[in-house]
Amino acid sequence: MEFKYIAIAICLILTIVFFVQEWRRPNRARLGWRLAATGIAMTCFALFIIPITYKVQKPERLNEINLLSPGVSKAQVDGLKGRTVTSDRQLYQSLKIPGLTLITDLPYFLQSEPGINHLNIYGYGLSKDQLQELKDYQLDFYPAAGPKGLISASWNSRLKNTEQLSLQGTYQHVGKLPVKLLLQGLGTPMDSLMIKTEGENTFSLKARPRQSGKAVYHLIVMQDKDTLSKEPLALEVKPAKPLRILMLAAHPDFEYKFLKEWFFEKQYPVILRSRISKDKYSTDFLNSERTNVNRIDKGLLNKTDLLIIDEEEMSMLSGSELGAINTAVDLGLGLLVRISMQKPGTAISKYFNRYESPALKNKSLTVGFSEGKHFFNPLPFEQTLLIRSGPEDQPIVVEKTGKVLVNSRISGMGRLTGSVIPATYHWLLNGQNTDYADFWSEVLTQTARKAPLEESWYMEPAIPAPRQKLTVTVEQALADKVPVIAINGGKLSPLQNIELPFQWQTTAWATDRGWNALHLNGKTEFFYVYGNEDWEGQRNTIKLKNTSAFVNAQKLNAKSLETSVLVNKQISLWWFFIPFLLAVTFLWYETKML
Amino acid sequence: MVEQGTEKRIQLWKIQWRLARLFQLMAVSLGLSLIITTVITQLFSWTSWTIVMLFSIFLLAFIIGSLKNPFWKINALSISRYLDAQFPELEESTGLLLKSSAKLSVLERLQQQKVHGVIMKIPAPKEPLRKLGWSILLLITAMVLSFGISSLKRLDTLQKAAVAGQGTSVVKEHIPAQIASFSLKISPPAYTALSESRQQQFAIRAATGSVVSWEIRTNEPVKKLKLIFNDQQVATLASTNGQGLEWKFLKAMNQAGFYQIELDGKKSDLYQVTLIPDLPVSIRIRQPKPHTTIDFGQAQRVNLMLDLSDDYGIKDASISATMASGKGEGVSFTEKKLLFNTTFNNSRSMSLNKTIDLKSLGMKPGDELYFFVKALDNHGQVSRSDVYFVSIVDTTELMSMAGMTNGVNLVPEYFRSQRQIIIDTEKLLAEQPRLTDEAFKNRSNALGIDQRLLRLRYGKFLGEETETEIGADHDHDDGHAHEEGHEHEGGEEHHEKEEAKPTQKFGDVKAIMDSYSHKHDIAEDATFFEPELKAQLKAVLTEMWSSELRLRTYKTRDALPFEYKALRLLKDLQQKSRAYVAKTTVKVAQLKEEKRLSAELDKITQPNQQNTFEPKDKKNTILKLALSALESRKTGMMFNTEASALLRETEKYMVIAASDNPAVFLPALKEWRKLMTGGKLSEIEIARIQSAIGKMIGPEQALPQLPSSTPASTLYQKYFNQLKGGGTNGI
Repeated sequence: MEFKYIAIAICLILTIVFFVQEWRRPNRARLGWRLAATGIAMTCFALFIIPITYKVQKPERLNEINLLSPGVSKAQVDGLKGRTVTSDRQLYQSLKIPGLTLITDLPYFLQSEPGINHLNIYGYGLSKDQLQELKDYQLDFYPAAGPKGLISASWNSRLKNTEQLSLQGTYQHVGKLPVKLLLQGLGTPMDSLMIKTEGENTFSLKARPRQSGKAVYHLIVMQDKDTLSKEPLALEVKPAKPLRILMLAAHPDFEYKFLKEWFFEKQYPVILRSRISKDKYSTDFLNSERTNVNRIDKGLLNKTDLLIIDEEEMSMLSGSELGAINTAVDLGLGLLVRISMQKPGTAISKYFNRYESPALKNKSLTVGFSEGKHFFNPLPFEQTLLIRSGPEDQPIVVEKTGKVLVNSRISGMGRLTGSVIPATYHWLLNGQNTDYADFWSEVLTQTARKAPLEESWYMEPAIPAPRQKLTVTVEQALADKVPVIAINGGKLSPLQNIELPFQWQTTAWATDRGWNALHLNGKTEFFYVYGNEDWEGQRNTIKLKNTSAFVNAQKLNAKSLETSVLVNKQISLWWFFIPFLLAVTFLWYETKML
Repeated sequence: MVEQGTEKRIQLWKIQWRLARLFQLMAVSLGLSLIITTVITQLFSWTSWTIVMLFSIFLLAFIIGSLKNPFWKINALSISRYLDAQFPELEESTGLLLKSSAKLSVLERLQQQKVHGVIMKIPAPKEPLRKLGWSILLLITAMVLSFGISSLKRLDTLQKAAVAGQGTSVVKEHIPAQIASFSLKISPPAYTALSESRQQQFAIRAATGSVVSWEIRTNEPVKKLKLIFNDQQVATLASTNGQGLEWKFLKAMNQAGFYQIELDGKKSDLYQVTLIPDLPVSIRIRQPKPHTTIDFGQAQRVNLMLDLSDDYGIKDASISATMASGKGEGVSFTEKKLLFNTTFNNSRSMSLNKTIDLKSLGMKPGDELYFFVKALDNHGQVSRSDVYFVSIVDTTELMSMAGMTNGVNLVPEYFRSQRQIIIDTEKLLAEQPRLTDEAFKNRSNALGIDQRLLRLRYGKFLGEETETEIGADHDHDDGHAHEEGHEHEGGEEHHEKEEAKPTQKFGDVKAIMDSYSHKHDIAEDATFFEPELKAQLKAVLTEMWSSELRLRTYKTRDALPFEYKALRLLKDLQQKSRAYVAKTTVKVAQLKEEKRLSAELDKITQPNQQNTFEPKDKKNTILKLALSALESRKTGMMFNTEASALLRETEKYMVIAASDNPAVFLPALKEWRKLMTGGKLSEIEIARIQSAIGKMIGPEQALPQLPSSTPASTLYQKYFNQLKGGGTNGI
């Protein structure tokens, strides 16, 4: 303050001195101009020392904070205005930006500062539970760039013996160098895949686990010889229940014979009845008890999961027998019809619309599953009879050119499958046992009766981490009985679904890493709790999606109130410097002119 | 006085020269003997005889050298001659200096004095010294060379040692602390002719049947020392000095696998035993081909060329030949063993040659020879080659009509023609002595023309175009002939037909075009036969060409083999389209006419079979469970009693696998043992055990699964059955 006045005083004195000097100069030419120039120069000089400021009104959101979550980048938070907080200690230490405060708990913090009504969320966002707490706040979400690497994966973690493990997922690939995804289990590499293109890549890896019981496999991402990440895959293999099979043959043939032997060695209960003459049969009971199979009735079919029959035999069955088969299929029996005739013989086989194609004449037959790209070794015969697949049908096995050979459709609870392939035993004769096993496993598994489970359960999230909330959903056959659920010995109280009385739900917390026991109605099941560092990409992707979905839903709320404040603004010094320079120049030049 | 000075000088030279010559000879012969000796020792490795050989060669060379250039014969006279030749200023008068001046004439005396002055001035001749220098240089070179050669040999042995080192591949072994020192002596069986080897390593790699002897010295008295082979055979060792410090054991190794040492109940690590089996002799026949046909006119012998190789030595080889003669039911077989007239000195590989003379074996045309080569290695293992066929074509068989009278006859008259040509040729040859040269040539030429006609006819089958009209009837006038035929038919109908004709052809563009165009080969005509058949037909034509060439150049006798071959090929062609099934005798039970087709089934029983599959062992089930038990161990959990029992069961299978294939499974078994004795293993080591167990289980095959549906199926059941009804009910 004092300096300001002193400066003004000095400037005034100087101005008066200069005025007097100009006035008293002998040459009085351009006196008026000179005085004016002196005045301007001195005024401007004074304004250099004391700049002019003025006040402007500016809006400011006082009750707003920035919340940083993991994944946020330094560039994103640089120059953030307002209060910035984070509850992540690691992030707080790594970012090191001024004005960032570490809060211990977000709900507690918000409770203690009731004035806050707006949150800007940066990074991957918050978990579902945390978001629920922010229901009454206005939110804005500035998502971080999507996570790289394995961003999603899912697999069938509860398998039956010899069932295939199928791992599918998405990989976000950056950079030019290709990466290799390797599925490894029990010390053996099982399947691998190269990813070369940048961006999102879906992948699918398959393996047949060898152990029976629990094991943790690994999905390893490698670049050259460097391991980029190693994610665990927990899975459990349980013994498989055998299929009960009934085969009815119009006459003995090799296809039945080899199939029978194959089932026999796999310890499946098989009954093979082949017709010798009218009402005379030869019957094999393999791994099963002797019963009367001369008449096909409800009792026999109820004890069967799969009926394999050829069309000729079907047309020789009586009407009541066919009726029994029809009813059994509607109740869940799987029926595989071996089609060899051009015209359907019975009502059941009418579902399979067949035609002859000369295109396959004089060629060996190469078949494969309709979904896969893999084809089996060729079968050494020509196949002209084919099935025309309708809109209600599901083709299972197709020929190389896509013509359908095995077709399936649902009929009530059961499944009806028709096959025109007359002989597959050539694979066994040629030593291609794997082809034979793969073919029949797929066809029969698709067709066989679905055995209803006593109870089933699933868990949300699929990849739990310690200290995460788990939602266990149980479905059980008995609707009126409360299921007994316990995790690691701690009993849980389930809640019945109002609409679906057989569904029960309960929540628990993941405590221990590794395998955890879930007791369900006296049976022990297992689930695996992963580490916090496992499947991070997937967890972050889920967070990102959840947060943006939640924020978008919240957007309907009103805008936050805005108050205005006065802000001092300064006029640029250049505005004074230029007149000062002109005035001084004039004064100097004026003396030279004379 | 004067004389004495010169005399002295010459005498001195004489001694110098003699010595120089002596040294020169010695140096040269020493150098020569050095080189020869090193070369010989290098080639034949007679290391123990080196010194004797060196000395004797030196002596020989020295004697020969000194006899040729005797150093003792160097005297004043020869020196003077040399001086005369070398120095012209001596004026050929050095000889005068050697004589006493008293015996000389006046003129000679004058000359002597003159020369004396000169000789005192001339320098000592350098020649002998230079020669000595050269020979010493030769000696040095020889020494360097022989050193080089012998060091070459050493390099070679070094390489051998390196190779041997790789073979035994030094493995780091854990040796029990009580063992102070040990050594293994491996003596391969005598037939292998391999030398004994000694090693300071427990892992054994030896030929099958080798005798291994262990010599173990412990640093403290041990009461009991055992060797356990494949976890089954236990050998208790007896201490050699009775104090339990030195132990010795001998065993012939016939089974691969592993073994371990037990010192007072303390078991050592597992050591691998790899045995290299002796393979039987491998036989490779280079000549003849698996099927050989000897045509008419060819020499009736087979040249057999083969290579034999074995890993240790071939003891014997022979040809086992079987001759088949006769045909139909009268086929007789005779067997014979043919020897190679060479000796088999247990050599590892050899090439053999043998000419089998079919005639001396008693083979006639139409007979067949089947033979294979049998070889025996020095371990008594027999191996044999594939069976090879040689057949001699029977010309009489070709001439027979047997093939013509039955079956499909493609073009019989042509075959007959070829046969006719052969008959005519043979007849012509028989009559040749009685015929004039002119007539013979004419008839031969005529036969040639016949052969050509035949060839052209066959050419037509292949769609070949004829050079003239002789072979094929190229009927362009077919249409006309046809019309003419119609005209000759005559009768009233004929007129009607004639009238109808123009109307029929009217508008038929193709018919009009046909009458104007010159139609040649139709593509379909050319493809009468399959490509294989065509190739054979072509071969027939080639033979006919050759036959025709000989006939028309009057080399009638030379034409016969080609004619026969053409006929044989034709015959083959003809029989291509036939299959022959031999008749067999069958005895059929007498049919009961009264029971036939009565349609009564009451006496037919229904066969019923029941069977339950009993799995032989639970190996895979146990191994699979063991895998997940190990998996839980990875997380640091200890085995419970159930798991321990399971793992003990698993160990049995691991031991079997390791003894069958130690290279693959032994490392896993070692780690397994470590784990079972309570050792801490890392995850990677456990994974290695799991990987080995995985290999024992083998590839997993898919099985049909019983699919499962969700509980509370009544709701779903209703839904699905409604779906089915929906279509028909129109809901």
